[in-house]
Amino acid sequence: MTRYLVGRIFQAVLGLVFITTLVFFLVRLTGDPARILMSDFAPLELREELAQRLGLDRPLYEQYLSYMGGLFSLDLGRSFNGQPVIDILLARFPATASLALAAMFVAIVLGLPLGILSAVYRGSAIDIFARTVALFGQSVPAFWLAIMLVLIFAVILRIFPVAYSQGIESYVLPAIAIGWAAVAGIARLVRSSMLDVLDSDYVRMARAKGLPSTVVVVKHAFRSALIPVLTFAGLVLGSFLNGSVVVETVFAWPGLGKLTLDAVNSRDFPVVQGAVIMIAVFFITINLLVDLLYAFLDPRVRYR
Amino acid sequence: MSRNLSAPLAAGVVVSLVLAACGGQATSPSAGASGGGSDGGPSGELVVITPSLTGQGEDVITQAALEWSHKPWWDDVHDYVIEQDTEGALVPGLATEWTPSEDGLTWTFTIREGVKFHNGDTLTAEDVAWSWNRVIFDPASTHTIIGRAPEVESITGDGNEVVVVTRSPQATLPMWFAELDGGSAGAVYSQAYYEEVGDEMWSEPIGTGPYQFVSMEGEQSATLTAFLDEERSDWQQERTPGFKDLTIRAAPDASTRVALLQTGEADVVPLPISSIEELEGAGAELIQVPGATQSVMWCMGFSMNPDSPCNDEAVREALSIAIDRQGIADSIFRGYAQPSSAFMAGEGAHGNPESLAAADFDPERAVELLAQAGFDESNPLTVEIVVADVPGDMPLMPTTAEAIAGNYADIGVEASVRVGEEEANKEALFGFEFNGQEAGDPPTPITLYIRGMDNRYYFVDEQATLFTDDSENGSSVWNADAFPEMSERLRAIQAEFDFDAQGEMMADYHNWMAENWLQMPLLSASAVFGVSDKVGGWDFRIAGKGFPHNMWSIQPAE
Repeated sequence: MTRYLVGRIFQAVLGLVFITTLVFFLVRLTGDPARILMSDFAPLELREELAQRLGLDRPLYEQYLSYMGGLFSLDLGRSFNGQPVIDILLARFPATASLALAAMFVAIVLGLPLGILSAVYRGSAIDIFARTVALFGQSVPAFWLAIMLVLIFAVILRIFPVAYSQGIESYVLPAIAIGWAAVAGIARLVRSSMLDVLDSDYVRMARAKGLPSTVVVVKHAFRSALIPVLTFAGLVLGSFLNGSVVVETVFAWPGLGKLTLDAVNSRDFPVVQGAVIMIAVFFITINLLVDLLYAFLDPRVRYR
Repeated sequence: MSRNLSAPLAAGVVVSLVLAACGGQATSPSAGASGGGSDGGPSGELVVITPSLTGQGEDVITQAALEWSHKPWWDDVHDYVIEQDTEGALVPGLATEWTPSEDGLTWTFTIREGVKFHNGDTLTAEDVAWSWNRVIFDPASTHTIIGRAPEVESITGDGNEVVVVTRSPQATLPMWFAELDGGSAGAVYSQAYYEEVGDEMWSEPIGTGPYQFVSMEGEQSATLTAFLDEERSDWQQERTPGFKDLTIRAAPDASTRVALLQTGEADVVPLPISSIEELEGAGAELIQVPGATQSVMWCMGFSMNPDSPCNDEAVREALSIAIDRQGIADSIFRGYAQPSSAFMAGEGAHGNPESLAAADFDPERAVELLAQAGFDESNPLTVEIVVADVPGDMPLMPTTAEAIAGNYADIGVEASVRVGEEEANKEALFGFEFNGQEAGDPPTPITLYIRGMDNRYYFVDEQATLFTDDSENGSSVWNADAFPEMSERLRAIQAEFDFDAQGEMMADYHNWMAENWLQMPLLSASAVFGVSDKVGGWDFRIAGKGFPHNMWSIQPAE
């Protein structure tokens, strides 16, 4: 297990270095920040002065080494507007994290029961309903869903606020908008896993022993069916933690997604790099945790 | 295992709710009664929506990128030495008068006495000089006005006078610092307060404006309250706000802004043109500000590449009169735009050529002109229209470009539309990357570059920089050597100190540009705001970029 753990951590660090390097060079292909920060009409010498002050006049390898050196001391540099990148990211993180958890809550609370019921009552009206929800969830774009939710539940019914992070009720619509696609994904995955398990010998044996149906489903089938769902849920949570540009824009939510988009548009390289690294850390960490949990739950993984 | 999973799940839910409770701040937008308070002072709360707000704590003086997203509320907290009236004319703000010296090298601004900052300090001429020096000369400044630094010798404040000395006569200098033409460069800050608190000034700003800062919640909202100190000057008392409290909130998505108005969560909302009809139908109160933004199209090959067809005036005229401006204004802009006759002018703008009409739509003549130039069905002219969708700038530019391409197709011109990202387009423009910007480029396809702009943005300086050979940046649109008259006219305008005469020269300049088909002004669009029934009068003045402005002047409905 220790060897497995060390191997996975080494892979994670390697992945992080690769992503950091990639994003460092890619953002520099997108344009000259000195051109954007300065007025269109500023003299050339002033733009050059700005580039010098931002360190953009140095050779690319020097900029890269300096940036990577800073990362070892958790220094993500400063935004081109002067603020430390880490402060900017941390200021946005609670909004994104809380919304991600709320969306995850929606996805699990709706997705799991739908998947289970759909499998247990295969071919019934419940199954058709669940599969329709899954189809709808995976085919409807988030921006459209977000606008429809606002129209119905905020403008017409006046149940929830239109936008802004202003109390628990303001989480409902954006959490559904973000989590809906995951509801569909989880429901479909649980359904197919459950169907596999329900057809297995040991479940038939449990039924033959006369165990109540609820016990068979919850204790025997559901536990086994949950393992693939865990991987999916980890990836989903990772993507939620990146923030959703569309949903954050519609709900005026002050999260990481909108921040990253704004930083890309204004060529604020340090913020783009910081945001991508943060996103990469989320993904890698969650994947690592899921893998470890997987290994913990399934002994076959540990010894592979 | 169900137990193993249920624990983290439950924890996640709890953390989610805790974070939700911590992260959210319960507010009741639009709360409060309208109308005057029992003591005759302002009362009630006004909630105004703007597409974006910048983050708390950022240095707005020197950050060019921040000036427009801060301006909706910043200008109600801070005052300007020179303001502008509805016609765009310069009117006294913190200065009662401003006069040039005989040699045109010195401008003297006389500052009002007794004006109070929100912390009770009295505004001085030194505060004005400090504010202006910082924005022009601070090495950290990226503000638009930094382009003027080489022309300014010194800015000093003494007594109640601020003296600006320049290296060459600058007839348009007051516009550099004016409330709208100058962006936010002319806002006045307290030097003493900055020396006391340093960069905290940006997160806890004080000014002399009608509203004082209360709080800012990230990039979501700013809360202000009326400045009612009895010690404030008579001039400040005349500018007492109509509402006691003002909340400005950011909503980048247009449909969200509309929903906020519909649910009563906002009182003043900038509207997208697409939603205006629906809101009108629902009986919403709308305020239209004509001429808030404008667009133009330039032929990139013109004068810079000897082989470009655009060097032929017939081609330039044909490309301009083939555009059905009125049709685009009526259909795409649903009547909230009008054909434009000049770029960086427009109704109410200083130097607007009132008698100049927009180019007539005449596709038949366009076909004839193209035939004269050697282009017909067997040898069609090809063009590529380059455009960007810029939030907060002239709306619907890509759709306009598509419509123009359709107009061109009708006269046998093969047109394609390239919708790019604004900054990438600018990079290419200033990097001379478009076809036709350099000698030796293929004659076709002609690059037609569409640019949006607010109407009033110190016209002369901008035109002079873009269209003459004075700057390192110049000549990205035209080779000024090919049009010496253009440079001469612009320099003459910059040297004319009589404001009215200067306006006439600007109008002449626009007429001359139109006669020679040197550019293709397209449309001038309105800014439209939806307002709640709490809003009565509003001395809106001019709205560059279509953001809410001058909110202190909004009066409660009867």
